[in-house]
Order: sequence, then structure tokens, then C-alpha cells
Amino acid sequence: MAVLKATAAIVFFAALPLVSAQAPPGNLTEAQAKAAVLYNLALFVQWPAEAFDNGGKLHFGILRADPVMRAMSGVEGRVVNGRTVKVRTVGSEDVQSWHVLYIPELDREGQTWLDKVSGKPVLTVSDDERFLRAGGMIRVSFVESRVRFEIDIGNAERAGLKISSKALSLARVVRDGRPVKR
Amino acid sequence: MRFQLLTASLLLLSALATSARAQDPVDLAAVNLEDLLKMEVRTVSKKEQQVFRTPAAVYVLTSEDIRRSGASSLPDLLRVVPGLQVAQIDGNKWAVTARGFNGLWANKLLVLVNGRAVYTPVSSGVYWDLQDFMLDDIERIEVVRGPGAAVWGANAVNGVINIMTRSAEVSQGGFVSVRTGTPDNAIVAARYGGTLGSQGYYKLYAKHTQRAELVDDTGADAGDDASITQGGVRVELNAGLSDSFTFEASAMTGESGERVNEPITSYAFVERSMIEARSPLDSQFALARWTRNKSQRSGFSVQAFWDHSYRLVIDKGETTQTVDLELQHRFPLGRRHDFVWGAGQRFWWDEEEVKFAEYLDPPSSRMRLFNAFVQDEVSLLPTVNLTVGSKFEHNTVAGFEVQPTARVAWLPTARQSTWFAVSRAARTPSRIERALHVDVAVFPDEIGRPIVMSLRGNPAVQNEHTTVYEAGYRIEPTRSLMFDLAAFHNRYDDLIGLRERTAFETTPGPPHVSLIQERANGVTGESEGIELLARWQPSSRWRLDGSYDFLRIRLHDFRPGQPDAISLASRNPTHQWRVRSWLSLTRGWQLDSNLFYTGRLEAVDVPSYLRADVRVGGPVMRNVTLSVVGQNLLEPTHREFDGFEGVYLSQVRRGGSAKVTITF
Repeated sequence: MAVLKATAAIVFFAALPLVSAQAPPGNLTEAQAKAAVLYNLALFVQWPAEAFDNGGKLHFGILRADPVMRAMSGVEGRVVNGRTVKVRTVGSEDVQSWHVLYIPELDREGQTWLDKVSGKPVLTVSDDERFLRAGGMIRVSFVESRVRFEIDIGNAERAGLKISSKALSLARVVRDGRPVKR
Repeated sequence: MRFQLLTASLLLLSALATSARAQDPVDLAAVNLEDLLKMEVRTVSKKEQQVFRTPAAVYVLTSEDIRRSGASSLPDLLRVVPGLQVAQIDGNKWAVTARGFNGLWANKLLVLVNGRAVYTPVSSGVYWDLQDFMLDDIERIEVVRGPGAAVWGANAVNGVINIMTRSAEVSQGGFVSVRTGTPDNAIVAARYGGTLGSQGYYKLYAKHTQRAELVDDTGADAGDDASITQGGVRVELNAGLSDSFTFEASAMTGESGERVNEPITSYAFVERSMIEARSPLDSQFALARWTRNKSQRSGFSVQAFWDHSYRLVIDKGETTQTVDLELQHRFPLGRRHDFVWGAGQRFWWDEEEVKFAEYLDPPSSRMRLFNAFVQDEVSLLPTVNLTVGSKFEHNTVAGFEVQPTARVAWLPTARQSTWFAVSRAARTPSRIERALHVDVAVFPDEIGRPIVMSLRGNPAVQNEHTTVYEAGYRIEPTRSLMFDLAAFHNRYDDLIGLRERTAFETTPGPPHVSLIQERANGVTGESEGIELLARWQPSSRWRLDGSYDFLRIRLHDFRPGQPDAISLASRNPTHQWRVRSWLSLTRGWQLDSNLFYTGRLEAVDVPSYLRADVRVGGPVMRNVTLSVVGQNLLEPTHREFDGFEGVYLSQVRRGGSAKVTITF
């Protein structure tokens, strides 16, 4: 009996040394993961040439002052594919200026913004599960503590955006709602 | 005692060791996409955020909780939830309740599966052996202790368990799992999901469970093995952006054994003996639901379900059938109000076999239940919200009932919340309480005339009522530490107990004196308790959960002319605690351990026990995982409950099993 209890204690706590060992490889918060997806996707998306008429900047628009906004502050000013990253919260500016638009949730406001950029070369990203059906291009979700994203290439192509096969190979891809087999 | 000290000191040491390490900041620009997909993300899901703000004692079991518990049955899984009492009675039966009054047919807990109520109107309890889900297929289980929000109805006095299975949309592809060992000899399950056109998904599943016998008090086999085979389908169709349609159906068949106390016929005398009974198990259900979600705050759903089951209960055949139709509508009113209302109609039919000396009178019945509810969640201040609601029910048994609730949640800071609630809950008497007739014994008096002792239901019993006062507090002092405390005080009225009376009866002949113990309302009482949960995640590799429950019930029964509460005698431990450790080893392997302490059951002389379950699991190949589980490791056998209601108790055994899952 005592032996069993001792064994139980050991089994419970035997891994303490493992735990106290070196730092884990990277433990992100949800907001950081979403920001990382936004930033990284920009590397794998090709915008049409006319989207950069306003100078060498890559504009990320975040709808509402979301925690994602704060997480993105770390990449403000960095250079991606030769363009400087600028991150702002979306206001009433001309939507032409955005290259990437993040809409946390597809409520009335989110739907309005999605409609505003429809057809324009703006990469739209959201967490909302209905996003792709609503015309959005990329949906970010979390499955068992890992970030996953889904891409609707039909919606992206109609807006003039090209997503590289590298990014497509890492995501669940649909074309206008139909899953694309790879 | 020394074991507890050892545990405590080890915990303290690990606390000191790990708190010394700082968190490394993450450079987003340095993370590439492939690596990003492999990293662990600390998600505070919408659900968790909701839980933090909810003015109720909520606990959510995620699919990770389910997988890492090593449990192979739903009741075993529920052991980790603070405030629930789970005790195994025999190889295929469990007593599960929240906040007291446990029993084979614990009746103060409402269990829903995907919105479908699964309790039986005959006993007001749940047949846990029929809730034999593929545990890998459960998305999450939400447990609310206390009278569920007014959206659920009578019988949700002390808790609501809502089991949600995975949608077909997230169950795409194939999945097979095989588990073998003891006490569950074999559990084989398979699932396959695919798409239907561009907006639909389907899922098919099948499962076979074989549970082995446990042992009786002498160590001999108890004849309580069980075997169940089931299969089902689930289809989801999305129409446009807001509409979705879900259909599910399932059928189950099997057999289980138990030892029961049966009357043996003998002219004019009733003798009782233990027999080994086998019961066929047959159950089917179908459910359809249409949901329209306009936005986060508005939408409605309409749902209909049918279920049917046949089995033997204490060796008597029982058939039940349910048809239910309900709708719910949710909409915002202005900026501050979130309004939900709903209505539903349910029909029940039941029929029981009539056996010598034990039967329901009448043997079959129909019940019609109408329910409606309203609930308004008001945002009084950005940090305070108030939920007010009520359920209204009318049923053919107990007439009209109103169950109001008022709840307030206050979030003084982003990391703390506190809540208070007052509610009134009702429980409708079961068929057994209204109609069961059992001749317990017959013995002769001094001159040889028979005296019959019998236990009788009473068709005149009414609803039980409870007033529930609850409060809770949650705090996250640091990102890695969380405490959740819930406390309650219940006042019980009109509880159904047993009242004695003597009568001279002429049927069935010969004329005899009957000593009758009859069900009657009239027992009152109070209960108090606390449920404390602590969660500590010092690193991304290790999470430690601890919880403690305290429960005290006082029933007042020794008043002349009032029924006594012996049949309600508390079969609940005063103290329970649990410790769970989740450890991530290398290469995706995990070591998970659970320790459960259940205090002594005074009323039925069951000693306290400590239970330890350990699981080691991880990937062995791409798409194949292996896990090895040891359960009840500390003792070869132990008792968890008592036998009553005619079923004999078996002892729970130490066991080990291995499980392989394959995804394709």
C-alpha cells in the first residue's frame, strides 16, 4: 500500500526535472498567433501592381482596437518583400489603402467592412467560422492549442490576389466553398 | 497522512523551481509559417471568457480533458468535475449527481446530449449505461452546478450536464480507436466523415463496448458484464450564411447483467432472493434541428427529437418513448439587453412489465409536458450584468410550476469576477414515486394471519421545491494561476419521503393487515457547500488542477405525521478533493495523472477511498497514437456506494488498458 502510494507520488512528480529544464520553444497567446499569421501571410500573397500606387507601404488594417493590434506592434516598420509594414486600426479612411484587413467577428460592422472591400485587392482575414462563406479569404482558428487557417482561393483570385502554393500547402483550402483536394 | 505531506511538499518545491523562470518574449517576425503551425497557443477560448463572466458555477470539460483523463465511460469522466459525486454501483451502473442526493436514480441532475434530455420519466434518473458515447467524439461537456439557467426545466435542481458531440464538419476523414484491457475488455469505435456537396457534411459512426464483470464482496465474479453495439449518423447542411440544418440518428442494442433482489413466488407469501438477471438493452433516437444565426446576439432554433428504449430495470421490462418539439429565439433589445425565450412540448409514454409483488400501478402512462422560458441578460454597467429569467411548466402530473432565477455578475477588474444568484427550482415526481407497488415481505402474525409490508407510490405526490442561494468568485492573479470558488445554500421543501401507515386490506386475498410505507411530500431540509477549483500552469509543459468540495445536508424528518427521510438519507461524502496533473513530455507524448479522494458515506457505511488513474500517451507514427492507462491503481478492489433500490453492489477493480487510435 505504502509502496503504491510512493509510486504514485513518483509518477506524478517524476517529471519535475523535465519541467524545470530549458524554456519551451515558444508559447504564444491567441492574439500573438493571429498577428503572426497576418504578418506571415503577407509574405505569401501577391497583390496586383496597382495596389501599391501609394508608395512602398504595406498597410494592415485591424477592425477595432483588438489585442491583435497590440501584438502587431512588434512588426510595425519592418520590411516585407520590399515594403514597410504599417499597422492601424480601421476608421473611416478610404478602403483602397488597406492591403490586409483583419475583421475579428462577422457582426454587422464586420460585414459592412467586408462588403466595402469586396472585389478590391485586400486580403481579408477573420476568426469567424462563417467568414469564407461570406466572401472572406482567410479564416484563422484554433484546434487543440494549435493555430490553423483556411483559405478560399476563389474569393482571393476574384479580388486579384495570388496566394503562393507554399501557404496553400499549409492550410485547408476551398474554392467557393468546395474543398480542394491536394 | 504522510502521503499528503509528501504531495504537498513536492508541489511546493516545483512551485519554487518553476516560478523562478521568466517568460521569453516572442519575436513575431522571426516565426515562420510552418513553425507557427506547430507552436502551442494559449487560447482563452470564447467559452473560457464566457465562463469567467458567467454568474453560475460552470465547469467545461474539453476534448483534451476527455482524452487525457484515461476514462472509458462517461461517469468516470465526470469524476473530475468539482461539485459532482460519481460512484460506481456495478459493472454497468453508476450513481451520478451534483450537490447531494446520490443514488442509482439520482433525480436532481438534468443531463442533455446535444440539447436532447436523456433522463427517464420512470425514475427521473439517467441510464448511464445507455449513454455510451464515443468519448473521442465529444466536443465538450458543460456542467453547471445549481439550477441551470431558466432555459432548462424541472429536474435541473442541482445541476445540468450538457454533452455536445463533435459536428460532422470537424469530423472529416476516418478515425478508428481500439481499447483493450480491464475492466473494459474491448471498446472498438470507428467514425468516418465526408462532405455533401459544397455546403454539407456527414458523419457515420459505430461502436462496440464490452465491459467485464466486477466482483462482489467476497471477491467472486458479479455477473454484471455488459455488451453494447451502436451506430449512428449525423448530417449538417448549411444554407446561405445564416441557416444550418442538423439531423442525427442512432440505434443501440446490447445486453447487461446485474444481481437484483427479486420476489420469488410462493402462495400468499413473498420471499426474496438474489438472482442474476440479464437485461437486453435497446435504444434508438432521431433528432432534427434548424438554426438561423443572424449574428452573435440574435438567432433562433427549432428542434424536434424522438427516442425509444426497451430494457429491464430490476428485472422488469420497461419501454419508454419520447417525442419533443421545442424552439428558442434569441435577440438583442437595444444595446444593453440580450433576450432569449423559448417554448416546447414533450410527450412521454412508458410501459412496465407487471411482476408478482412488484409493479407500477397503472403499468403504463402518458405524460404531456409544456414548458416555456424567458431570460433577459442586462448589461447594467460595463462591469455588471444581471440575468433575470423564469421557466414556466405545465405537466399532466403536477400542474403548473414557475421557476424564476436572478443572477448578477460583477467584474471589478479584468482578472476578477464575482457573482450571486437566487433561484427557485422544482422537481416533478417520477413514475416510481407515484405508482410503484412493491411487496417487500409477508410474515404471519401470532395467529398466522399474513401481515404484508409494502412500499407504495402515491399518485397524489406533488413537485418538490428548492430555493437556491449561490455565490461565486473567480480570480486570475497571474497569467498562469486561476481560482474559481462557488458556494451555495439550498432550502428544500416538499421533498418526497416515506410515510408509514397501516391498513386492513382485502385484496389481494386473503384479507390481511398491510404495513405500508408510502411516498409523500413533506420532508424539509437545507444543504450548504463550497466547490473550489485551482488551476496552475507554470509552463507550457505542465498544468496542475486541484479541486475541493464540501457538502453538508440536513433533513428534518422526525415530525409527527410527516414522512421520514430515511430513503433520502445522504449518500454523499462531506469532503472530496481531486488533483490532476498534465505533463507534456518530448515528441508529443504526455503523462497525465489523476488523484481523487472521496470521503466516507456515513449513511451507508462506505469508507473513504483514494483513487489514482495514470495515463501515458503519444504518437507512434504519423496518424497513429497509443496510450496506456492504469485505473484505480491504489487498491485491488474498493466499494464506492451501496446496493439499494434492489440492485446489489459490486466492487470496483484495479485495471489497466491500452488504446490505439488511427486517423486516415
